[in-house]
Amino acid sequence: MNEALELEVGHKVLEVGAGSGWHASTIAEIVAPSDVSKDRWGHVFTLEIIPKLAEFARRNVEQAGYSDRVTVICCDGSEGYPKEAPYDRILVTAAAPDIPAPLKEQLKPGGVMVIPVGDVGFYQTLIRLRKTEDNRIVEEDLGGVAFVPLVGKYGHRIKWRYY
Amino acid sequence: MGVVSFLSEGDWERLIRSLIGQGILKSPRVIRAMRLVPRSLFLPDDQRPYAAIDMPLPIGEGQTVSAPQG
Repeated sequence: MNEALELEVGHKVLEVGAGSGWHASTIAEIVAPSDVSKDRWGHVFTLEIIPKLAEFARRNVEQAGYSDRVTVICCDGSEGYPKEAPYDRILVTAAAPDIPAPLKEQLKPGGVMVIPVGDVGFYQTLIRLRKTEDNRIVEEDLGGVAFVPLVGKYGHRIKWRYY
Repeated sequence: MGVVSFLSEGDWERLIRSLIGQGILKSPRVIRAMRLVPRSLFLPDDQRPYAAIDMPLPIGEGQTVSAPQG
């Protein structure tokens, strides 16, 4: 997914689904590399709906030395995180029924979003979405993938317990 | 520290080279980040021995961490 995102130093990135915090930390090492001066650093905001995992991710990110470049927020990521919007890049690490409208809104013109779209329990399609400078949306099919379902307001309507 | 002794940095490097060979990892910045941020640091203790296998792994709560090629 990191290749598909076309990440560059300085990018502000939103990740929906922090999980362990690993993916967010690899992104941080690309948009805010340890060998580049801090004033050029970008930042990763990563959202996690499951409180225990948000805590797990936060601890991992800190132990790996990325807490200055990765912020873990416990919230319904299907709604994005308007407080820090707009973002240069958005990635969703869970499969959505459709591309959530708030995420499209929170993407910068010229920005790229990578998101798996499809049914629960089947393979999904990885979509790369570009928002043009004049705010048009262009979608591209990157092939089949298998992810856990996105839950929350714009996620799949499945029975779900956070804890 | 019993589990940690299973870990070999060589396994992670071997996986990265394999992903480069398959054309999955391409750009130098992405490859560099994979080398600097090993997945093993982000796994529950019981999953660490499997960090360098190219599969998603369970992290609790019914969720998984991405496969390295993901």
